[in-house]
Formats: sequence, C-alpha cells, structure tokens
Amino acid sequence: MDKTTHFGYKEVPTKDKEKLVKGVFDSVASNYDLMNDVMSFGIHRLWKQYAIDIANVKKGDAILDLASGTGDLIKLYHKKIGNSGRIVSSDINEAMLDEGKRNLINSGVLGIEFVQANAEKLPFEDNSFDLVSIAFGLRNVTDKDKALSEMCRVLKPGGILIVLEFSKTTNPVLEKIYDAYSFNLIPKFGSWFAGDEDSYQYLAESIRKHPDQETLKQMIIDAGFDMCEYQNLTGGVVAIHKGIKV
Amino acid sequence: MAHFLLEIAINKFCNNANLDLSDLDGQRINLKVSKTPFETNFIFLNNRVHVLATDGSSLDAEIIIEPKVVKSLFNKTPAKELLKKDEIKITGNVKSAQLLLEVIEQVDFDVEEIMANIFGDMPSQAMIKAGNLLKENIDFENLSFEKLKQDFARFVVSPTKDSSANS
Repeated sequence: MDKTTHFGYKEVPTKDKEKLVKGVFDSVASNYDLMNDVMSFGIHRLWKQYAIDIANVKKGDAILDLASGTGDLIKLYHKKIGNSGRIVSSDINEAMLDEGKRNLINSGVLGIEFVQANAEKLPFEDNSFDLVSIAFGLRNVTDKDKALSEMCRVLKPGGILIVLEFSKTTNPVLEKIYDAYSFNLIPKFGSWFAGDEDSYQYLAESIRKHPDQETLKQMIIDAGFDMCEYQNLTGGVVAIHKGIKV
Repeated sequence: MAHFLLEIAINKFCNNANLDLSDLDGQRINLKVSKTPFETNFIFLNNRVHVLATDGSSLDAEIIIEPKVVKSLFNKTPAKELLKKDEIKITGNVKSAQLLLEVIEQVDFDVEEIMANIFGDMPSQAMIKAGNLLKENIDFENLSFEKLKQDFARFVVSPTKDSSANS
C-alpha cells in the first residue's frame, strides 16, 4: 500500500504531495506578496526582519534561502551583506522562483544565484553555507526530516539554520480568534484578492498540521544540529527556530 | 525573547567593533555581573556569539564584571585599564582566558557609539542621558543587588541631585 501524508487536512499518497503543493504555489505565485500583506496585516515583514536579526548575518557570508518565494528574505540579506558574499535563492517551484527573480531585479537586488531545488535533495556540497533559512516553507515540504538533514549537511560547522514558520498559539483565547480568522477569513481573502479560495484553505489547514514548537525543535536536533532554540512571535502564531551545527 | 535580543546586541557590538573572534571558535564562556542575578553562557562559533542556556555544561572560561564597570564605561575607561583594575576578571583554562583577554583588550568601549550602533541615535542619546543621571545617583563602588534596587527607587523618585532646586 502507498505511504500517505497530509496535504492540508487531506491524506494523500506521499508521492503526490509535491505535485499538489506545486499546484497551490503555481496558482498563488503572482499574488503571493499582496496576499501575505493582506493576511498578516503586513506583520510578516516584521517577523522576517526579526529572523534576519537573529541570523546575525556578516559580510562575506554564504547564505542559502530555501522556499525563497518572492525573495523577501533575499532583499534583507542583500541589504546586510551586499555582494560581499554568496546569496542563493532556492525554491522547488519554478513560478515562485521566477516571481522572486522579477521582484529582486525590479528592486535593484543583483548578484543573486537562483536555483530550483527540492529541499530534500539539495544540489550543494557539504559544508558550503554559513546560514540556511526557510521562511514559511517547511510546512509544505513532504519529508521534513530529510529536508532538515540536508540543511544540516550543507551548513558549515558553526553554521546557523533559521526556520520561520507558523506554529501553535500559546494563548487559548488567541487560538480561538486565530482559528476563526484562518478558516473563515483567509480563504475568503484568497477568493476576493486572488480569485483562489482552495489554495488559501490549504494554507490555513497546512499551518494546523505543522509540528508544534517543541516537536520541531526535537526534529532539528534529530537532523544533526547540536543546539536549537526557538522563540514565539505574536503569541506563538509564528515561531523562529534557530539551529546551530557545531 | 531576552535570550535572542542579548545575542543580537552582542553580535552587533562585535561586528561594529570589527572584532576577530575566530581564535575563540568553540569556546564556551560564562558571563556574570557580580552582586547581581545577571548570568549567561555563550559559545563562539564561526565568528559569532551564540547565547546558551545556563545548564551547567562544561565551560572554558568565566568573565566576571564588577558593577562599577558601568561607571568606568561612561567615563570611557579603556578595556586594558578595566582589566588591570580587576573591574573585568577573566578566569578559566589558561588558553581560553588568554584568548578572551586579547579580544577584550582590542575593544574600544565607547558607550555612546555602541548604543547608537545597536539602538539608533535618538534612543541611545536618551539612554546616555539616563545613564549619566544614574551614574550621579548610584553608588557603584559599594553596589549590591538590594542596594541597587534602593538606589534605583531613589533615582526614580528624585532623578537629579539638584531636582529640588530646579522644581
């Protein structure tokens, strides 16, 4: 019998998830930035800025941003280190990568490498990066353990992994409000602003299926990282995990 | 939250001071401000500082800072001087302590510049002003945590020595 995994709240054959996620992101790519601003009221920019601060990026660093999407993090990295190091923007989805390329070039961010790659099989040598980041992407990866191991492999000793992802709220009142918002309003926003309710229904469901803070911390350690700490933002709506490979 | 903020601040400080931390790679250090509850562990890796939980794991060296260092920093006392006067003490295994000493000696502790780099010009000016007032009002020479609380309460009630004359 085929192994299954979750795609939002649906159980699907593991081999099909990548294609289904691709369908979602092909559909949302052109409105992705607009929808992020609408859904988070712009707060996603603050979360991303804080993640970059925690990453302690230095001039000359080699940085790999996975599920790079429209390139928000890449812009922030480039602002910090310019062209002094190596910045790689990677996404499994060609439409998202193209959108990112267009955005970055339009913003005058040049000198970025674009690599279409699956996080579970990174086409990079061992110990190549000082920092690997993945923002709002890990929950869409089919085999998260494998992807985390790959991230560990490509990091140099002393390298840092930053995972910015939706998580479990820590306040029961906030949880109720957040649930109502995610399952009622977010799909509607998807329908009104992007003409695509189903994809945003999936996004809301995928957040609930993502491992909670402590589980993800353990997964990061199990993947080979020597240390991992996390911090909740906005009451746990989002968490930043920082793994260190010693 | 405090953990990551402290780490961001330390790394910004090291970056702005252009400190080369590569010789300290892998060293685990304990930092303590004596007579206060402030204590933290950190590790140097890949030219960065990572703050760790104080979990009793083995450490290579310990830095103890006397509270009166605050006053010395506001007076722009050089790091070498602070080490000589034992306001900053480094203990632990000889090699780690020597490496730390060499790094700290490179540091130019200009409080105003450090704060401006970390927080921006306007907030740092306000903090410097508050710091100068604290410096006048708190007896750093004979500081204990209890006394610090009392001095701070006194400072909050009467922020300048001649506040009665100004009012």
